[in-house]
Order: sequence, then C-alpha cells, then structure tokens
Amino acid sequence: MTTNLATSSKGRNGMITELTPADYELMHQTKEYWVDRALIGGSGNLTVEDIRDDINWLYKTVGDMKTDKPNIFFFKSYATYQLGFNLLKIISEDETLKFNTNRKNFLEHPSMDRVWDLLWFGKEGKSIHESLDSNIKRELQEVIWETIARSAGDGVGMGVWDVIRQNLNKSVTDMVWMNLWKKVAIPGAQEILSRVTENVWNDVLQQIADYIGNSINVGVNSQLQDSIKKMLSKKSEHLLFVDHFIGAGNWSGWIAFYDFFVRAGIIGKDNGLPEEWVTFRRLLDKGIWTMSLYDDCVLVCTLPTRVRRDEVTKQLHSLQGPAIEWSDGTGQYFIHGLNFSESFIDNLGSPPELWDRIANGKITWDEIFGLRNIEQRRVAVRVYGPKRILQDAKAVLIDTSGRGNKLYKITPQIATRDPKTGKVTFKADDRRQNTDENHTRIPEMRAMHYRDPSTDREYYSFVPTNINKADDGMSWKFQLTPAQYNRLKVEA
Amino acid sequence: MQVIEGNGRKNVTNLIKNKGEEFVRHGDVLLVRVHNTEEIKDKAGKLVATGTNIVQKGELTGHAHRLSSRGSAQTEIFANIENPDERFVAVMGEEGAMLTHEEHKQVNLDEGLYKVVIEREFDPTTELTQRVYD
Repeated sequence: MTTNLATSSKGRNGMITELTPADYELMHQTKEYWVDRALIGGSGNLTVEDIRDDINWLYKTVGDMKTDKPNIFFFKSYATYQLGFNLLKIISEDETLKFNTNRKNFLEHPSMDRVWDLLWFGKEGKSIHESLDSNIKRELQEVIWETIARSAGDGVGMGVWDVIRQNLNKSVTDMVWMNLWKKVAIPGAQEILSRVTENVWNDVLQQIADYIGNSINVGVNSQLQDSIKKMLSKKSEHLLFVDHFIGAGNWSGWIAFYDFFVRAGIIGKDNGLPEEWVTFRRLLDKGIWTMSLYDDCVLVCTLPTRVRRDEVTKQLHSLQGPAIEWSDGTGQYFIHGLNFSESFIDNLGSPPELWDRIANGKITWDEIFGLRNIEQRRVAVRVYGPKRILQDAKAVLIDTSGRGNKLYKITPQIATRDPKTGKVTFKADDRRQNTDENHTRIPEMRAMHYRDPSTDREYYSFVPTNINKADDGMSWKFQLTPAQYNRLKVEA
Repeated sequence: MQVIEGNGRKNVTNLIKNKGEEFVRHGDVLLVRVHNTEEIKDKAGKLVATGTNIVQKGELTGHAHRLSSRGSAQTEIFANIENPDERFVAVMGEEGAMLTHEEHKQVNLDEGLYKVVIEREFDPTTELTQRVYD
C-alpha cells in the first residue's frame, strides 16, 4: 500500500506537518515487514550465489578496494560464523597446518583434528571435539574449502593461507559504511527533511527505527552475541569474537526508516534515493543477519530461520525448542529472556540439560531450590507453574466462592541446600534465617484454581499476596473491582 | 466521538449506551461496555479499524476469539494507534454480534462499544503482572 504523504496535512511551503492514520498504518506495515523479515524470514535456502553480485557491487562502489570480487565465506548460523572466523585464523597462522592439499585432504586429513583441538582446547586441557556433531564440523570445513578453492583451484597452497591471514587483519567495513553513509543516508535524509517537518521525522524515527532497534538489536542480537561470547570465552582465551555488524541484526531499523518514506512516496528513484540504497536494501532483504568485510573476503551469516519470543514481553523465549533457530540445526535456548546456551555444545548440539529439564517439566521442586543461580530459579518457578506448586509446596485453601473459584496460600518457606549432598529441605520461614547461596527464601504466594464456565477446564494462576477472597482474585485478573465482578453475568 | 476507519471517519457516539450487558467474559477475554464518552474522550482520533475479526489469538494454540455479526448488524475492532494493545469492539445494529472460539461456547453481544480486557496473571518471583497467554 502506498500513501501519498503529499496529500496529508500540510503547513506552510507544502511541508508535511503531521501524519495521518493511514500513514500510521503504513508505518505499522513497514516495521512489521522488517521485524518479521529478520526474525521469521530466514528460509535456509539462501546461497552464496544469490548474494554474490550485490556484495561485489558493495565493494565496487567504494572504489579503491583491492578487489571488487571478494571471496565470500557463507555461514548458516551465528555460532558457525564465529567458529569459521577462528578456524580461518588458526589455519592461516599455524605454519604446520598450511599444507598443500586438495579437497579430500582438507576435509578428511588427520591434521584437521588438530585444528579442532586447537579450537576446543580450553584451560581444562581436554579436547572435546569428538562430542561435536560431525556434520557441523564437516559443513564448516566444506564452507571454507569451497570458498578458497573457488578462487585458488583444487590445489590450495601455502600462498593462499598467507593471503587469508593478511586479509583477516585488514577490515574494510569502515570504508564500506562511510560510502553508504555518504551516498545513501545523507542524501536520503536531506530529501526527507526538505519534505517533512522535524516532528514528523522524529515521530517516524521513534515509531520505526527505535522500535525495531529495541526489538531486534537489543531484544535479540545483543543477547545472541552475549551467548556466543560466553561460548568462546569459556573454551579458550585466544578465541576471538568478531563481527562488523552489517546486516539485518543491526541495520533493520535504519533500512525500515528510509523504507517507510519510500513506500509513502516521499523519496524515490527520481528524488533523493540513489541506486546504492536500492541495492543495499535488496541485499539485506535477501536475508543477511550480519557480515564482516575484509580486504579480499567477506564472512556472511544468514538470517535465523525463526526467533521465538514471549508475545507480551518480547523476551527471547521458547519451551518447544531453541528461541533462536538456524537452518543448520543449531540454536540458542532461552526461557523468559534467560539464556541457557553457554557452552559450545549448548550452541551447536543438543538442547542444554537444564533448559530441557525446565521446559519439559522434568525438574522437581527440590531441584529448583538447589539451583544456585537466582535467575534460573525464577524462570524455573514460573514454568513449573501454580498447579504443581500448589501440590508440592503444601498450599492451604483459604477461600472458595459461590462461583466455585478457589484461592490457596503458600506459606513462606526457607529452602536449605546441603552443600555436600545437594539435597534440599524446606521449613517454615520464621524470618530469622539469612539467605545465602545455600539458603533461599521462598516468598508467600497466592494461587487461584478456577474452571472455565463453558468447557469446565481447570486453570491455575498466581494473584497478588494481598488478595484474600477467591472472587477478589478473579476480579483482579480482569481488572475489575469486586463489585463489578459480582455484576458479571455472561461468561463462556 | 469519531474514530477513524479506513479512509474515512466513523462516529461511534451512538454506540455508547447504558442498556445491555455491562460485562461479557469469553475465556481469557473480557468485554467491558463503554457507558459514556468521558471514558474514551482521550482516544478521539486515535482509534483505527484493524480490518480483522480476531479479538484475541492464542499464541500457543493458534485458536482465536472471533467476532461476527448477526443479520444486518456490522462489527469492527479498533486499535489505539499510540498503543496497539488497547482495543475496542464496536457492534453496530440491533441484531448484535457473537464471539466464538474453538474452546469456548459462543456468547452474544448486544449493540454497543466495548473495551477489550485480557486476563492477567501475577508472577510471584518478580511481583510483576503479565498478560495470560494460551
């Protein structure tokens, strides 16, 4: 849908001074498009050939680059994107590994085991590469081999690795970014500000760019980066985290901001919108989460296939699988915004054990209060849910209403964990025990048990602790006063 | 009071009535009748027709509370452009409308303007309130 903002409210000199409801609807469509594109738009079908011309164009427009046809290392997940960089560095810097070889050797030579050992060798001095899915390792090696062989031919000599080592020390991202800023951002902004007032600009900035920035950059990308950084730092202090942040993970808000004005007809091909914007938009729209740009090579990570979030809080969250899922089968696991993927295996292999126990209802009440991490306890209690808590915490029924609603009280308790055995015991909280890593205070809680009038299905739900009557609990849940709840006659 | 619908504006003042059911609960959705214009005067010009008949959708199940009109009556769901989670249901016509859901019995709605309230729950570990989702 295109709205001609030129027909909207106008002030002096034909400037657009305010946005109409149709403009707000267009803003909503634009930001939903770019958020969905980034978070649920990854198909896993994107190939390096789909983006090669556009990346070559990116280098060409900068001018004065070593090449306008860089090698493209193409990764299907953020974890393998980071591992790929470190693999390239390790191989290119280790004299004993830069062997003259062919594809078969590169993929199957025993020396590659040593590469993986160097990657995994942590302070424990124990290699765990055998635990990693062999498909992940093979796929990474294939990505690297196919890219290098494409330019160097089937026999890769030491010279190629020397070039890669030099490339990885020379980032060209700043040059590319400055070029985009000069040719796209500034002319586009000037054209927009010649047609709309500052308050319209600020409104769109807030509604689109800031909104998407919070949704994607803050809500997803920064947490994804934290997860991978922990993964890298846990294993080895010489593994690097590297990202130049050019892609949907960081730039969706900026692209969407300009995209709105294009859709609204404010800027376009014939007024203020250079070809560079069109191509850059197309490149991101194809499905690039992030890129790192070097003198003669680019490392590309495609979009996740799906990002799952809590509908209300927008925190990363899933009890069915990884909250961030990639087309190579890897993923990061979150529950109510808390990350459970901190190791290599968590990020690249099976679901983290604690995530699995919480998400699949295997964790027990004792185990929850044996957890040392307070945030893990918090999400575990939340997922455990009031129904099980009523049973396990010996809740006391304090009121039943004429409608059949029931209100229970869970009295405050202290959970004590034996540091030697890990066993947890519970006793009433007399407020004399201080809390520490082995003593956790379980607060007083109130929980409702009620039935749906039309299906008779049972529900359980927490309510605030100042509620003492069952119907008051229900009135709180629907933001009614008790008197209003009494007047509720129609229920289904 | 006028709300905005599509390319034009719609006056919903005549929907604000004192007769008919005050509250209608349908699972985790409660519709609260708007009795007077004072209740929504700060929303003038900010309510936009959503173009959908879904009042609320369950994220996990995909089931939805759907609004449909009876006879020649018309229905519309409006959202606040400044706060899209704030929604209103308008039922225009004496024949009224109905709410249906895969897991709940149908309920009937008389003509009127209703505010949509979603059931909430309490998180005792953080003492935060959140919306229920099913």
